Amino acid sequence: MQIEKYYHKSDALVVGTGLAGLRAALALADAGIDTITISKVYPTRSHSVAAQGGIAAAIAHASDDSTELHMWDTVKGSDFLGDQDAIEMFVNEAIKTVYEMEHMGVVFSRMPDGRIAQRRFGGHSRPRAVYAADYTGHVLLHTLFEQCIKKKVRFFNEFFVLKLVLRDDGVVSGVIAWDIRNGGLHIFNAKATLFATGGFGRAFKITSNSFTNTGDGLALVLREGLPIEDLEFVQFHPTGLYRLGILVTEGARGEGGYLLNGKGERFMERYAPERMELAPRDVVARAEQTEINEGRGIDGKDYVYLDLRHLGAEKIKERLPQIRELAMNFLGVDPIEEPIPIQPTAHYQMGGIPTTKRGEVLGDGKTEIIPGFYAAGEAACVSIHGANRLGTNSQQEAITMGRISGQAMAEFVKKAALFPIPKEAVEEAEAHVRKYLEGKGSVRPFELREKLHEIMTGKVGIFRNEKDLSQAVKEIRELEEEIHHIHVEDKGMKFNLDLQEALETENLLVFSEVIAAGALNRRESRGAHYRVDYPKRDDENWLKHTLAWKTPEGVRFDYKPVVITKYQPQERKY
Amino acid sequence: MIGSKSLVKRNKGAMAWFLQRLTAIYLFVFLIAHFVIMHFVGSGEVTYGTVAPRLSSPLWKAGDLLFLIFALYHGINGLWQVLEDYIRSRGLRLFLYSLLLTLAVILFTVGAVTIFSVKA
Amino acid sequence: MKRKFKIFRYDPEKDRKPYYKEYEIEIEDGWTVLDALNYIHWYVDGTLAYRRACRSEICGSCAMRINGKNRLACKTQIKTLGKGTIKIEPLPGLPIIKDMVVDMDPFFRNLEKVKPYFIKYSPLPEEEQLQTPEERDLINEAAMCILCGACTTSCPSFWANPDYLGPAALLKAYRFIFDSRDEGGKERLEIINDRNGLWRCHAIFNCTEACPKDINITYYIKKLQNLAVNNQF
Repeated sequence: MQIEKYYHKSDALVVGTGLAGLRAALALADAGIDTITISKVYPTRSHSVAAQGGIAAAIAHASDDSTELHMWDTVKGSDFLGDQDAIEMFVNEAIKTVYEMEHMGVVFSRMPDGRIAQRRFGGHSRPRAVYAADYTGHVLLHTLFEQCIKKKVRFFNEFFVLKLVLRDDGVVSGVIAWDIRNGGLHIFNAKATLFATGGFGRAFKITSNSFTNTGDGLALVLREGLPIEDLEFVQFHPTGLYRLGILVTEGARGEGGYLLNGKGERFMERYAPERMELAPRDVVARAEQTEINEGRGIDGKDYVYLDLRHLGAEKIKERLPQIRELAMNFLGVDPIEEPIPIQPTAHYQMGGIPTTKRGEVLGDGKTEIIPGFYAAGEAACVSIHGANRLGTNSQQEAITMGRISGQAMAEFVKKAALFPIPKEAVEEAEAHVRKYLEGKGSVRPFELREKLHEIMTGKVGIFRNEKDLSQAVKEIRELEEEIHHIHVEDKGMKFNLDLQEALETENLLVFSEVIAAGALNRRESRGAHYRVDYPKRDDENWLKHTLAWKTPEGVRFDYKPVVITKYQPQERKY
Repeated sequence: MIGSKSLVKRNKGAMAWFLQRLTAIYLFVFLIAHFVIMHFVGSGEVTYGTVAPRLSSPLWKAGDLLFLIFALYHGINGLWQVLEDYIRSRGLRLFLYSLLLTLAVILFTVGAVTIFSVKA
Repeated sequence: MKRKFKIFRYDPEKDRKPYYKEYEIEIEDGWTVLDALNYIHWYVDGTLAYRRACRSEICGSCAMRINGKNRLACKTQIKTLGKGTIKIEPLPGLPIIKDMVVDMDPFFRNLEKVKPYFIKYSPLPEEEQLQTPEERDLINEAAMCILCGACTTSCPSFWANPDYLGPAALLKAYRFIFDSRDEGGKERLEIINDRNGLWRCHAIFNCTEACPKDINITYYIKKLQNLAVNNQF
């Protein structure tokens, strides 16, 4: 079979066109840098578009908010695993980000006097979420896309990255990608490459994430022998539509929605008497799962209710129109008349590719910067979110870190040389596709995925224990063997969805082992990582970040200390 | 946001769109008037003797002439819009446009002669 | 419950002509057309190609023609489609890449023509530009567009004339022209005031009917036409 090769050169390369990727591309374009973006999808299909509730910034329009409070809430929300130097920078830059986005034309919801409105969100002690009804991510993403059109960024849409080119001399000089639409290998050679490849929700059975969120960036990085940080911390969003996992924004509770169990009780009273439904997500998700596990779900089943009826028709239609539409279409429930059946849903990865505060990727996870390689957004771990992210901090991080990384890249590119892509890298990428296009296996990609879903949701979910986790690690390793026997039915070049799913499944398996092994390794409970056999936080042994490498023998671990500047760890109560 | 004061200089369809609507209003009013006069006012007997005096008044002649111009504009412009939707080749467009214009000139001449030749 | 699907198939590498292939599958209550396509792709026929991403009506990937109407597959509940065979085809009026996958580039190129971005010439304030809720209401609905292409590819004027900007691009122009903060209205109006722009809209209302976000697109195009005419005088 003939596989055509195409060569492209640019100064900067951005992989992923969600909020982080587009913001970085824009920063590069603003600096006059020739920039190419690569995406699996058209930019406006990126999963950032599905973000709903808002973007956090202490602009203090609706309260006496301050950056110090934002910082404290974020540190406490992270269960003291967030790096405080990064968080401090983040909360200050966040304000700039909001005004800058407004200056690009984002249609934020307004107060009667014309200023930007703010609403409450979980874990934030003040109304801090700047929003556009319940489609904030949509307007932010579209606005950045529009600005990138204005600045003539070069888009390569519907390309699937097969390989990150990390040269023997330790320099990253681009990527090699598969043209989804027409087939063929495209070799993108650049002075600097940014990964803004998003999250990994699709490793789980019930997830709020898009079909595209298969953590490809993580797999590409692990394959090159680089470490990933804190991957065991998986956020489960408390309100996913029952059985579907589709997101119902935390803004619904921010506007005053209640959570009810099968007995009609507002059960959060028992778990977070002060913040109630607006406790951080790890706390609320665990509370829901406890109610369900103890038989207090609705009719004893595995869901609880999100009740918005008391907000009234007008408020629901104005502030939460998308939520209403989703509940009506998918569950046949009108939130104005009935409560919405919900359950926790895999939502966000707190960990990711370890970076500096400027988005530079760390080759050893600690201090050693890889020339020409950057990461931002959900794919990266700065670490701002530590063990648990607060709602609205992720869109903020994606845009803020996208901008900062883009600017850092622009500075780097102006001084850097272009290093060629070694022939072997191209051969390797080609072999990777050929394995599937020419292989004669028997296992269908989705069979493997379903097995993985069962393992991840069943054994690496909200409540974890030693036995399940060690079993999970073993089973994922077995699945990794099976990937070599995968059967791709479609052998064509044009829009081969079957091939793409096989490639994605392999990626899912590569990092899923790291999640499970990391969870097994971390024998404490912190933030979103909860071990029933080690239910207490253990600052003496575990106040540190996990760094994980893939090796043929299994996952290898190392650690690095948490940066603590202002706030010493204390008991976390809501 | 723009106010309604700023001027769009080139006419690239706005005028045609506007005139189509303006002529439509005239045609509609004229048609109503026609029905009322022909069928509800007067004896109901339509002969040369009853119609000719009306049609020979200068006011009616002006109204009829306006009707002729507006009806032709409305019809030809409407046809042109439809053709523009479906005919993509420049040559064919030019040919059909000339054809429509010729048709308009002939119809106008015939109509005008009729209007002006009526005598009581 | 068993349901039949008649699906448009065309792989330019193999097929000389497009054809329809029938699949009969067991569906569950609450399934959308996208669930059915996924099932067919995963368990019945791995060569089937279509686009999908968010599966929650917001990314705009899975617009296709279902029983003769442009819709989002992820939004279309199978039980709303009556009892007969469900026919699935690509969006009309765009080049077909394979099966339900069409080339969206012409659609996005049209969008790019209308300067689909915020334009400001006067100096920006340090904080936000003020905009009252009433001013925002003017563009709120138009800003909800997900660029799925269901409207433009349902428009007979667009089928006949691919140079026509189409409803989605015009809606985007509206979103900025009527934004109280924007200063590029005049230059945008110059662009859309064109025989292949505003004046190709014959108020057929197909776009409004097709819009999965229930945006009254025709109404906004009419508001632009009014503005353009008012600007003549």
